Amino acid sequence: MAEAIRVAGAVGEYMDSVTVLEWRAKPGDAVEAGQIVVVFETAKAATEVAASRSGVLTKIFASPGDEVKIGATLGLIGDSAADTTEAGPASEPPRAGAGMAAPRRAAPAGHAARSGRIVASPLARRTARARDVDLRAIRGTGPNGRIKRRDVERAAKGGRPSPSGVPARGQGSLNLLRSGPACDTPVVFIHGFGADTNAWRWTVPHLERDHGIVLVDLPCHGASPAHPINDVIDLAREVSQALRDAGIRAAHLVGHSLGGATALALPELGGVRLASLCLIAPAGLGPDIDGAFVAGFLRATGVESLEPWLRRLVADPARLPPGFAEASMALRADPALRDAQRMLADTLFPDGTQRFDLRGALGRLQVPAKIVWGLADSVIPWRHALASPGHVGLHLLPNVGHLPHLEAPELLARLVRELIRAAA
Amino acid sequence: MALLRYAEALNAALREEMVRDPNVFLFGEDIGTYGGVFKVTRGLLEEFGAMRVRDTPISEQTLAAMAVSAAMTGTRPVLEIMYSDFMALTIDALVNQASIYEYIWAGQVRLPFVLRTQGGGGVGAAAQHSKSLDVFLTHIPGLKVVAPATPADAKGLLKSAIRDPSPVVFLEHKSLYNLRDDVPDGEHLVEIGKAVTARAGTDVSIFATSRMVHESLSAAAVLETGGISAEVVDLRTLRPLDLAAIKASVAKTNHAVVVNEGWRFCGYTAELSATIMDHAFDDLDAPVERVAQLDMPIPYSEPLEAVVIPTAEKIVAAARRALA
Repeated sequence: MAEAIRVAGAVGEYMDSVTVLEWRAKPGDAVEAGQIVVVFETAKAATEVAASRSGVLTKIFASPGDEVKIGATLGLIGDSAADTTEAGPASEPPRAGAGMAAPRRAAPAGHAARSGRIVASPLARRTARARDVDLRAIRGTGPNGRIKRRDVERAAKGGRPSPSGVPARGQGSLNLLRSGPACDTPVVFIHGFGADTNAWRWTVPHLERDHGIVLVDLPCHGASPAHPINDVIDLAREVSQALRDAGIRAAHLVGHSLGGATALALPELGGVRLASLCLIAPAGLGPDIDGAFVAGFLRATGVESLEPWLRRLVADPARLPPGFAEASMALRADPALRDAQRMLADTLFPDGTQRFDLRGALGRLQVPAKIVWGLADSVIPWRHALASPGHVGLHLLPNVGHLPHLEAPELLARLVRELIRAAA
Repeated sequence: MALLRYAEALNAALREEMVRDPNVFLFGEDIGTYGGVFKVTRGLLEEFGAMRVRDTPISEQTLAAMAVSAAMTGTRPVLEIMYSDFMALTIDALVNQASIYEYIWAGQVRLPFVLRTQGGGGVGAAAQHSKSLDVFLTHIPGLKVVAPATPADAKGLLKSAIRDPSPVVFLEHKSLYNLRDDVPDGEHLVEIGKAVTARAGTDVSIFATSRMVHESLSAAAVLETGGISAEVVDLRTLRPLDLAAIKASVAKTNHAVVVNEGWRFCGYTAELSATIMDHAFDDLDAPVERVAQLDMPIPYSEPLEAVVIPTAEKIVAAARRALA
């Protein structure tokens, strides 16, 4: 049985909550009785909490910055890393900080990130009542997953969620999701082939507190419109136009795989000024790509056939989050979307070959740039990175596959932060 | 119709009202011989004489009390306080005299005076000559507070203010005095408490007064290039609010951005935003976005000042946040 680390009542004579400042140990660390494990702030001072026993810190319930009630359980110390059952009187764990564990957009439709409560604008609620729409069945496209009127009206018409960020005007605009503080030069994330904005849910929480974030759905992906694409430059042109339409004239670009190639091609169009560039296992630096993966991934119409291919994306399939295959398949449920992606793959990767070559663009970069590549990537060989010129930093990650943003999100966020600083 | 500067439109309003009503007289610092530091009272001393256009010493506290007393005796004084920063010195007369006498004497006494002043930043006038203290005044029940954005409204509202039976604080803006636009000749009255749609739109409503109306119009032009149709509502009167106009616009666009050049904390945007929630909550598709001055003194450096005061860029960003 694990023992709870609590906010002792004595500190709180004048208050009913405190703010967690810092954890001095990580989950899985061994701790000694008497060792300081966590520091929180009361009205008067920072208060240190020592471990009440020796063991292993097995759980943390409140992150730095979270406000917790007096008496709440901050974490658990158990005999082993697996010992997470709390001894003694059950106590409700404090609500975790939104940025910590919760995905930015809840995978199941409906509920905005934090809890079971439905987050919807007053107008969306009124509209839902008037049109007899169940808000629980709707995925919100507003900030923090908030359901807005457009989501209710789309649901009332039976449509899928689509562009947000700017009001939908015609069919042309790509889906952009914005978060974090407003700024002139946001960090723009462009996902890889077959993915969508959800790809960044593990990385973005580490960045959105300090930086404006924009997530883009490429054409034929996510909630963006689908239409024939002839070349990577077409993708770049559409992303560039969508950013300009949203008032974005300068950006730090982060692109994965096909999104990396798009990011590399985009600044040469001149519409959006590039501040820094982070390429994650980018396409466009050599001819090889795992054609069997692309074909198999596109063929899959159910979880059973999709999951084996998803496992190939990462160095250690155990690192795929629970429900990852189900959520991925749900996002690919629309046959029209899969058809559009198949056509895109036929155009860009004919016969298992990357048709386009962006090494020249890499050589012409004038801003801080990094390439991040997993040494266990089996979709695009990391050796393509060696084609890069000397001014581009290489970060080659052992035991990481094709998805560093899922497999090493904290490291990736740190590298992006370093790029932003270098560009300042 | 004549093409007049904002300052000239005010001058026309003063002249016309002084001609119309011999009880109207002006007083304040440097308004006579010098014609006012922003030339609003130019030529009036020569036309109406020193009994009706009086230069005074620097003593804002006394001047405000004089306006109250003179109004009680049946005249219609128009007092100019040179900078709204120094309105702080007039507060006692406003909060402990002007705003309550009609009330405590059951309407037997009326206080038909106008207190004109100018404030605001954007011209590098630094921390002591740039403030927007709108809420010092709008907080006080019993005072009407107007803040015109255009030459035509400057004239029409000043004439209405002078004819109003109760105290009116008239907020001008130093960077609007040279703004030139069409102004109706002669009897042009703008009703106090009535907003006007400065630009019609369908996606987001931007509420502003004074110079912020022009920043909002610039923002609306930028938003239009991104496919966003912004409506700009010029409130014109800060108190009493034109609630009907606010409700109608929010009901149309479902998104609101409120703009005021004063400080954010406990500022006018806080009141506007709460008012919209009180009266139009179910029309809102997003939280009301506020654009106000950072909570700090205005820097002398103009680039730094631009960071502190509201600008079109900040309004554009707020509108985009509302529509996200």
